[in-house]
Amino acid sequence: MSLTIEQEQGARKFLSDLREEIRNHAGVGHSILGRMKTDPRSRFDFKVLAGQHFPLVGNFTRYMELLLLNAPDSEAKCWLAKVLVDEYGERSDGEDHAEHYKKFMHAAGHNPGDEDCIPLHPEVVSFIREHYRISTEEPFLVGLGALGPGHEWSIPAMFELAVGGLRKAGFAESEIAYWTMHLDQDADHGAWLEEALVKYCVEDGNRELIRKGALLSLDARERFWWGVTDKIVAESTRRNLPPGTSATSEQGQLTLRELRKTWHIEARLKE
Amino acid sequence: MAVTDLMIVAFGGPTEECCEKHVECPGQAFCFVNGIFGDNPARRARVDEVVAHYKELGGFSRFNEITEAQGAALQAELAKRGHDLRVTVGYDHWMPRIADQVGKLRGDFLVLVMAPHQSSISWDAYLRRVTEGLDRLDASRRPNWIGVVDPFWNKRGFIDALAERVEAAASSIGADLTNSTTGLVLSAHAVPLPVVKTSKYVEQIRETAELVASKVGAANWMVGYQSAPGDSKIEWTRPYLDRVIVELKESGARRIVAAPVGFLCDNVEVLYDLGIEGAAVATAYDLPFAVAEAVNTHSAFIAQLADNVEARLTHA
Repeated sequence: MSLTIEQEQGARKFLSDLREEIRNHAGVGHSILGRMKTDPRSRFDFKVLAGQHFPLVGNFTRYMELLLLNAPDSEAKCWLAKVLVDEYGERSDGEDHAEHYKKFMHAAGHNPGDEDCIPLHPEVVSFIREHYRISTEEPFLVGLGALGPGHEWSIPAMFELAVGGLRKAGFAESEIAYWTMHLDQDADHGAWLEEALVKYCVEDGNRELIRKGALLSLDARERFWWGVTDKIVAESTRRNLPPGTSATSEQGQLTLRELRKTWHIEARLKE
Repeated sequence: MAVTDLMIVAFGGPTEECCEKHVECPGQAFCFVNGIFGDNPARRARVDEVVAHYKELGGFSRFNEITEAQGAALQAELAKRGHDLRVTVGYDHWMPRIADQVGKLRGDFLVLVMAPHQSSISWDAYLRRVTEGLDRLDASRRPNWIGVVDPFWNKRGFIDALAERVEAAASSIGADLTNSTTGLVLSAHAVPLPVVKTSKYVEQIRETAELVASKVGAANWMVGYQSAPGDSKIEWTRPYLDRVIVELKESGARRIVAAPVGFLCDNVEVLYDLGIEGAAVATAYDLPFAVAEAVNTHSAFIAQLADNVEARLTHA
């Protein structure tokens, strides 16, 4: 479909406004990220953060694969496939992103094999559940909004702050490759995405769906960062102070391994 | 073992002291609020909004001054009871910083968290700063024992102090708390719902409110949450203060008394968010409005803190 100049200008204006809205979203500008610049975090803090963030890393590819199945045309499939190829490890020495993340986790102090045995804050579980819901139950453009702009345009801004904090905490560049590779790759993904999105952003109805997806994802992200904040301060308290002094409880919190036993994600023929 | 020190930890507020992070000082209130959000352009509008509240109140906060007065009163009360503890105060978001103050403690110590209700982003956040201070100490300087004083949200001295403040505010506008035409708002800082999922914050506030309302014989009262950042896109604890004022009016209230039961001193949330913004909502509905003073250095409150410190000392 070829667009008139006016249609293309309108679509790009919408996307530009959406980028700005994402940049200023409280999930992207959460204080846990902002303060990494001004209020140094310890390796222990990042160990806690890593334990909560890993499940998001490990599930992202599945949301994308599920969304790919619902993509209405080849152009959309192409964008999703290009991102997936990176997620599978095409531009990261053949190792998928979850494997890279595990290296960071081990540098932060987790033992190999324990990555999926960490009690997860309820908002971590909610984030994953919400993204499976969006990528399978919402219209395709809502899913595209969530995994496209909601991720690709927000992650570089969030990770830039995180990388500053990781460096201040003394991590070597080789240990934080997962984070730094996303600064480049997601900038590329974001640019590819903008081109893929233009043709969908001519009609108001489509724009609303894409924006809805992006904001659903970012709202879940804001809740996720509060969950991580909650975990970091509570774990720090438990580590150094007498038992029972933390205000929080981990009661009922599931690990990723336990979640995998109860979640069944499938794409199958329905007649 | 000998406990030598009592460390009081609290949120903090901007004073005239300069944080020296900028070549040209943009104002202590800006540095304080911007520090909370982490100098993040995405939150600049919210930072500017809160800084404006401070500026309307003179640009500084009495938070630290009042907290230090509470500490001095507590040290004196403990001395009267035969406990020679040196009180040191530190803040999460302003000088003197908690982690720096930990380095000045002489040996085994108690920590008193100046947050009446427990959530990770106050209680644990301040304690995290204590652990940060401990991490900086050489092994030889680390204390053998640290105790954390129990919280006090439902303790008699705290409730009595709050009740007295409520009654004084009610008297100031001729309000009879036992009559349902007086609406009583018991307010606390809103917190994001992800945080209350792991703590008893909401239940503790509810209990404080019930105890205070019962003590003053309030006929028409509600808990109200205040000061949630307007740029957050997620749910925070509700109902919000403005909604509560409207609901109390709808239930027959003709005047409103608001009491900051979730705050321990007259900080900007009490003076501006409750005292100015809350008053504006009430005025819009033609409701006379009075804000109770926070507990500050009320003698019953200080005595309660001393009771809790003594109770923890027995376990040292």
